[in-house]
Amino acid sequence: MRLLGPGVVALALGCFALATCPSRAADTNAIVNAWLASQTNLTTWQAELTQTRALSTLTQPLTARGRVWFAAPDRFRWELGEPPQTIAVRQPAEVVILYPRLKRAERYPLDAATTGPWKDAMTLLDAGFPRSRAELDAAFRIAALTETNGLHTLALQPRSVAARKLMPEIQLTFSPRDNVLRATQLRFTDGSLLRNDFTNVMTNPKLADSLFTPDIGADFQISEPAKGMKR
Amino acid sequence: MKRWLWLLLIPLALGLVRLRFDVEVLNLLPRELPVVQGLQLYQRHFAGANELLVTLEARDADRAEAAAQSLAKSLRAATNLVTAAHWQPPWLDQPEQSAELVAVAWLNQPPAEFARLTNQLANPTDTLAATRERLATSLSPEEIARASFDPFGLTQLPAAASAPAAFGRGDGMFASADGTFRVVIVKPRGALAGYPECAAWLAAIRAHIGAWQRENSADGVNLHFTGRPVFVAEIASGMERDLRNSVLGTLAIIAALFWWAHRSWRPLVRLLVLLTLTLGGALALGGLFIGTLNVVSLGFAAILLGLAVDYGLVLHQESLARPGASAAEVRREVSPGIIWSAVTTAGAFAVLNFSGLPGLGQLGTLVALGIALGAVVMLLAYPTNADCGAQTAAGDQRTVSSRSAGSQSDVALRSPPQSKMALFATLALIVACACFLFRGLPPLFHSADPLRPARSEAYTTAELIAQRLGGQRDPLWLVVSGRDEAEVARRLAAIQLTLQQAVSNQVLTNVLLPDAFWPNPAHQQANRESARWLTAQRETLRAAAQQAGFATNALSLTESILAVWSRAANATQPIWPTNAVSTWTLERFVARGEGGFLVAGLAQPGARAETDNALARLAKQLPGDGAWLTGWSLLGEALLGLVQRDLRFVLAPMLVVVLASLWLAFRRWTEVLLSLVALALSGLLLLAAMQAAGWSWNLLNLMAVPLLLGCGVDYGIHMQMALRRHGGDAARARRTTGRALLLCAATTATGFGSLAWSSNAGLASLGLVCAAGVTAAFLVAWGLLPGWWLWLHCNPLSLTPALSRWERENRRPLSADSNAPVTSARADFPPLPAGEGRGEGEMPPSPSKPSSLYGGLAWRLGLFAARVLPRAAVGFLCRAAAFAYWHAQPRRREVVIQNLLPLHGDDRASATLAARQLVRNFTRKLADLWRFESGAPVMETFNALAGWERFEAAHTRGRGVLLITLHLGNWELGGPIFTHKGHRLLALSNPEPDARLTELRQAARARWGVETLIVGNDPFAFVEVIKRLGAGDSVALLLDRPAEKSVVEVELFGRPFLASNAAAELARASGCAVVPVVIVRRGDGYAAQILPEAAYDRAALNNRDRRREFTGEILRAFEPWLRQHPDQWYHFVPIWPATATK
Repeated sequence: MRLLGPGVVALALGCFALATCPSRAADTNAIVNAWLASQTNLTTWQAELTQTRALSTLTQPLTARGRVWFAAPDRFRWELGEPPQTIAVRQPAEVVILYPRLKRAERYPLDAATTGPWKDAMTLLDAGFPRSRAELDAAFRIAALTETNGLHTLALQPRSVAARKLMPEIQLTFSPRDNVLRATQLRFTDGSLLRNDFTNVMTNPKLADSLFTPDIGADFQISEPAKGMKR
Repeated sequence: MKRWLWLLLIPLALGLVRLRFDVEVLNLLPRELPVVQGLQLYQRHFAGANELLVTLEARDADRAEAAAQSLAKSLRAATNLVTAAHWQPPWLDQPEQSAELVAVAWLNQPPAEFARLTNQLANPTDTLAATRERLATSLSPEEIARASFDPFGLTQLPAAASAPAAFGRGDGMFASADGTFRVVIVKPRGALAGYPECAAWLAAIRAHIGAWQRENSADGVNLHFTGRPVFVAEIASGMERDLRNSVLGTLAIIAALFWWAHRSWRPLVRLLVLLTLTLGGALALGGLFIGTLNVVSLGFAAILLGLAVDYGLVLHQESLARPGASAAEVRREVSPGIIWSAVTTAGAFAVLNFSGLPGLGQLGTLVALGIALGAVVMLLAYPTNADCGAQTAAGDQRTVSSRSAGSQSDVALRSPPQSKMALFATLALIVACACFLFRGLPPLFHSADPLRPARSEAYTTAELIAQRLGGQRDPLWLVVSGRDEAEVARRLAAIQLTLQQAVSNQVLTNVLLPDAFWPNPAHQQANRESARWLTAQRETLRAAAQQAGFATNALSLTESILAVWSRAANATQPIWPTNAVSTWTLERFVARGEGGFLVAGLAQPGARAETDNALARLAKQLPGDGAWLTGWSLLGEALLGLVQRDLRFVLAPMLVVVLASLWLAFRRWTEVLLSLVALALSGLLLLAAMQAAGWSWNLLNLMAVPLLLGCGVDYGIHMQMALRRHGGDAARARRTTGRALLLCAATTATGFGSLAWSSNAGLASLGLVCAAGVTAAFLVAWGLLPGWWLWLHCNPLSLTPALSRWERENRRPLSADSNAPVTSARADFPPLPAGEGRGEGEMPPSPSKPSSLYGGLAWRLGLFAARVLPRAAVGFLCRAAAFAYWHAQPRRREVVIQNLLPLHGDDRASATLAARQLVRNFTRKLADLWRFESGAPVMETFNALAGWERFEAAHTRGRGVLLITLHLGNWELGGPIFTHKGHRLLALSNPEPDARLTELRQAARARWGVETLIVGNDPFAFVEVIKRLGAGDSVALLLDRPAEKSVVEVELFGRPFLASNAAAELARASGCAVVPVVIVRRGDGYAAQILPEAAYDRAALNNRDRRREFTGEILRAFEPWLRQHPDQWYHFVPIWPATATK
């Protein structure tokens, strides 16, 4: 029998308000395929973003500004806050989350053996940049495609039950004209929303490799929460 | 049975009633080992001590989740069976209850930490702003979720700094990552005290779940069960099954083997009844002295049956082989062997109590008690033929006769032991074993897996859960105990430093200790005032949160925590969480009972855990009393070390017992040494067999070594005792005791072998190794030991000072110059006057072993020498050969002396002189015979021929002439006397040792016109003889070499003598003339004397006694010639029956 630690309690509290909701799907193969086809030409991408978090426990949404860089096939860097309060750097084998103000860093390995909500969360973060229909279908089921103000919004449902319990739906909004990603929205089971609106989007800019190499200061406390390791 | 003996039934009945199954595997292990103590505490109080785990596996996650939810709901409805059923962490069902656990955890923190929280909440605005920032910028789903409902950061416990490490663990307890595999945890209603309760409850649950499956069409969902109730029910039912199957299977095989060997129902039934009584008695004694049977000790039943039956088989076999012996005689004969065998075997099993493994010790005690009981029961109650009456004896005697007449198995048993062959076979075996062991000895398996069930749904399912839910296969557990909360808290604090160092040194990678949740009385007391103050700040906190933009639902956790603190502020005793979620959670790592408290933690071995036995050293660094680092991986090493250490303590007394028993049994170092060599070779064979089969040693089957020492030595004792009893007659020893030992070994190996199907892997391996070892020990004792024994013992009869009447009467003779044994049930054997022979260290030879010189090769060499060498040279060689033979063959020499004693009035000196001359004469006779057979003129060697007219007179009557002679002089030379005179002569002969020699000698006679008829055991041979006699031909016959079916006891020199009644039978059948003939050496030539015809009344010969008398009369006609030429009566095997000495 597994021993429960404090993390279990934390999770219990985290799940305190999560609930499930139904989803729908639509046949939008043509549009999706066109958008996916454009993604194959995407090698790098960068944008400024405004992240809006509408949480059920807050009376008003929270907003934070930040920047995002992406390099195909699987590297990205998110910075939230000005100056950055949270930096997420994704490399092929791991995601490193930096909390500069707290001098804290967390490593999340993404090898094949790794499972659990973080792996699913990373899949969700990757969702904005699928490389092929097969890749998209492996992780998500297309629930719906809607058009609003000339922008297409693709609603995706995670195939992983664990991910679905965390975030039952993720929406990708893109312009059919240039097939550029304009926004993403994550909907949590308790109804909370996390929306990213991208501005100043640049396609295939030249990005320095150092962007995707986390700069962990010597005074940072590093942990690997997925393994429970600490030093 | 005396009446008071019935009183014994009372304690036996009490013992049987008291007997219980102990299903706890850890009770097999030594409690003094800390790792065992820790495991026992963990298994008893944690590990879902009383919970059932039902696993569900479906094709997709949704289906699995729906099924798990539905099943849990259905089980909850069965309130008569179930207290609770969880398909997901209970806090997901009742999340509001989690607050209590957090609140108490804060109270348990050091006052400084709680003060930090107090200070933090004293200025909530900053805290709330920080929370909002985290909510806005965090990328961690967990952090966002937590901060949303915990604006004041109350869930951020100091000890929970690594909380993300356990992310998902709660849900991971119930579902695999892909969601297709789920676990439902079921808590039974009421305590399931014993295995009957567990089995009944489990059956009811299975029935309920079966109904649920049918109602919900859950066919696509695979269900499995594990948890303590399943383990208990499974182990108990496995024990019952093992006990039943091993006992019935062993009894069935014993019955089959007995039937195969004896084909007699009554003794078989008696044997089975006595075995059952022995087993029942042993069980009752076990119940009285021990009270429980565990998964290992229950194996005693099959082992005991396999061993106890040996005593019955030995008794039965001996009684069969001694049809005339009384029951007391049979028992007296075999009781030393049985008693010493029981002593050594029981001793071997008893010393298992020194093994350090209580389970194995219990097995040893039970088997030892059972063996002692079995030996007594068999010796007292097993009926021999004398007890059974004539009918059974006759029936069994038929069995013996029919078998000795040539069944295949008996032929195998009668294979002559050749010392040289045995030595060669030994060498070959050693070389073969060395080939197998060239790459090394069977490895030593270090794991504790042998203690686990061999085939277990519960175990397999537990493994599956660990595999699918991503847990460790062999985690380590930290168990801390204490009389009260304070003592546990002190110990938890005390081991922290040691554990941190272990993590730093990479001996451990992670340690999860629930110290944050442990009620610390001192901390709670110190924090109460702060808690009271915080409770008073409730409104302030609420207002600040709302001002910071948090909704009302964000504060429910805070409200709940403050409520608990409010309660704690007024408490005087340590506060424990009490709601359902808290209780369920605490049960994972906290236990109360047995006058104290226990807490369990989890540790993961690090990269350097295996270096220098670091984990074991870490375990020793923990406080010896009250804190344990334990786990199955640690258990294997710890136990193996203990077993290896104790093996020395087991082997030492075992060797002493074996040596003492061997010495007391034999009182001769040569035989003691032979037994030890046999054991050593058996061990070598076992090692080779293990290597070939890919078996390894483990902590249980290592104990096979002392067991085999005790069991294996028995075969050597029995076999050497039999060799002594039978005067070194290895064939006879094999046919009697050897056959019994064959059955014994088969039944013992069966008893051990039946454990191969045991539900306990270690017991199964122990059974297999013991079965192989017993087989090896038997094969060596039966196949090789007699050869070694004969090689070492020149005078086996000197080892038989107390030959029984039956033994002396049942020696089997061999003819002097024929290797063909005369297999008579009543053969003769020379008496051994007390003290004679032994003083010189000389002993008679084995009667079953003719000279190895008598063979085709030696005969052809002789013929060649006689043809090419001058007569003088041949004579010289013969004298030299006689000299060498006399001095090199003391056994033969003694036989010849013994044979001649009656002819010399038991004057040994005179007989010895005659014997020496006999050997010289025999070599000369051989030289003459070889010349004769190589075609040299023979008639000129005769210097006298007397009584020819007697032959002519007899021949004239036309009814044929039966020429009777003895192994006296050179009887073969007589043939040409008759053929030269134009008479047809047929010589009757037994087959020679090999077919080539038979042909050789047949051809030699034919060269002189003498026909040969090989009689052997062919009953139709005499038809041809009668036909020849009817035609008026002459037939030559030796009378002092009785064939098996023609032997009769007559009187010669006033003493009983066994002769062939063939002459009397042929006379009765044909009416032929019976004419004794003597051809003896006289001077440089031979003298032939035809004695007066033996007259008889043919009609009177229809009477059996008369035929015997007539045989005696014929034989006594030779007495003067025998007295005159004792040194030409060539017998090199014993010829006088024992009664002749009385």
